[in-house]
Amino acid sequence: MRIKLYLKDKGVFLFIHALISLIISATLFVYQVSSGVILLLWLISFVPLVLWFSIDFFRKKSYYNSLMKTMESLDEKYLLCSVIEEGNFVESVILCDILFELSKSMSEQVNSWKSESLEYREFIESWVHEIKTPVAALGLTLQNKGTASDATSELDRIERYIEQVLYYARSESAEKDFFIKKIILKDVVGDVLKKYTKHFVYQKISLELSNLDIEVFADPKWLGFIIDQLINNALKYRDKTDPKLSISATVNKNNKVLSIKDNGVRIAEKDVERIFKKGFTGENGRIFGKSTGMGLYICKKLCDKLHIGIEVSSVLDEGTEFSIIFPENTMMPYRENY
Amino acid sequence: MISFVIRLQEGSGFMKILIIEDDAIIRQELSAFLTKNGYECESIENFEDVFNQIEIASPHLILLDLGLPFHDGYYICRKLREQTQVPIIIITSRDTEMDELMSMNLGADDFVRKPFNTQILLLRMERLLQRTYDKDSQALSDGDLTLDLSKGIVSHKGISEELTKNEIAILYYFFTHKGNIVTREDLMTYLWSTDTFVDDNTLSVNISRLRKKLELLGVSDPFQTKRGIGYIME
Repeated sequence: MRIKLYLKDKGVFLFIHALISLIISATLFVYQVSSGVILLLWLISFVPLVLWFSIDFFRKKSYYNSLMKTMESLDEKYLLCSVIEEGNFVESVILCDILFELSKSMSEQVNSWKSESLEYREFIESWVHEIKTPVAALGLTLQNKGTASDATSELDRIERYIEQVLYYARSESAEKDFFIKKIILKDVVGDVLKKYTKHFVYQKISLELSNLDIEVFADPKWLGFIIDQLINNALKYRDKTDPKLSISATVNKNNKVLSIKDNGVRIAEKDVERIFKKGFTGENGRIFGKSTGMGLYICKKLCDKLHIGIEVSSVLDEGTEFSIIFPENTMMPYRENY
Repeated sequence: MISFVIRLQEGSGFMKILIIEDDAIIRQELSAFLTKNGYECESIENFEDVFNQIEIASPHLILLDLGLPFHDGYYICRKLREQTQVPIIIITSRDTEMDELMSMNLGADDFVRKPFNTQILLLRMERLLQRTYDKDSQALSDGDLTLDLSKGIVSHKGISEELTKNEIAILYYFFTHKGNIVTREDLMTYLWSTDTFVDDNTLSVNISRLRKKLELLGVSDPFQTKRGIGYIME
């Protein structure tokens, strides 16, 4: 709190007081009271006043300053009202009351939203679990009838969209949902590839896997979902004459990188930067259709939660390469059993 | 050690699988599917006295759903482990790492997520059954030609030759589908199911190497090429 601000606040009062004193002095002067008495009167009326204002100024200054300091030191500013203390002047009491009421009503509001969104998420998750049973039943029925490979591949698509919903719901929530452990990239990549056996076998896509016996720390389910999205994209935008997919890993000093590279349709340069944005479909999405623009967005979100990086580069005549970057974390406790 | 799945021979009797699942369609279709693949299936339809029924059925393997009426799968799993070592595969739509960990902690042997890939389910069942009941890995033979899976060696009239993992898998598939036409797609699908992710070119190379090795052993024309269709081992 600056002195100028304080004086401005008290300005009117001081002005009126000075004016009254002046009028009184002038009157006394007219009645020929000696100037010594007038001076005395001035002293009597102003010394205690200045003294009082100084005390008042300093205690308010120290109160507000400490308040500001506390607020700055808080990561979550809204917590201020739970650490604030009332001062010994009336405005501070009112201020505290207001802040308290404000934060109470705000936290009520926030809590109601929180529980609503949790409820929504829980519903989505349980819905996804529910729907998996009929999907599994339908898949089995189709298989037993031995017919309709079209129907099976449509069912695969349904499954993939269901997974997207599930992971989208999960990506919104707190870190408690995932389970980081030591995994070998080959295992996760292999599990995903198996889902696409039919694509690789019947569409004669050449596949190159190299150097995947590398350990990283991640949640295998989440990572599997991310890799699934990337492979699905690579297959969707594959080269029509000689499709190739190469999955490899490299170990660098500060990180480990898993790269998934295809020789398919290139991503337009202007699209590369926006590819992880929500709802972004880009040129390819429009040409090839069936793009929701959600897959890569969810991937990016999950990567952020898992503290791993994801990047894309696309070069003309070479195709597209996605890299998942696992930073070498020296803080991670090394547990042999995981 | 090459981890391979040996399709249990007809001679060793049918393996009995017990399906504990509350969704009637899945129960019925899974049972049909497994029966078609050479298993004897039974399923539980009344979940009130599961344990009695399990004891009466005394299966070789149990497929267990988690969300069940009366007792949930976790409870059943834990209770079963107090009395028996029968292999249990959990089949569930719950899919987090925690669920899997929990199932394993309660003594389940494997965990398959819904909606499942039936080939993967079959493979896991076979692997588990083999591990439990058929500990001595076998050798397959056809006339003078013998494939020793545990050593990875093929031999013919006293001469033997080492095979690579892919070659063993291919020969194994030919052995188990003797007399039938095997398409390249069948072979690749099988190889992929055993974590061997070969592409078309690699498969060609593997097949021609295998053929050469067998011919070196004195097997003339071990499997014929049916142009445009696939291969057949007579």
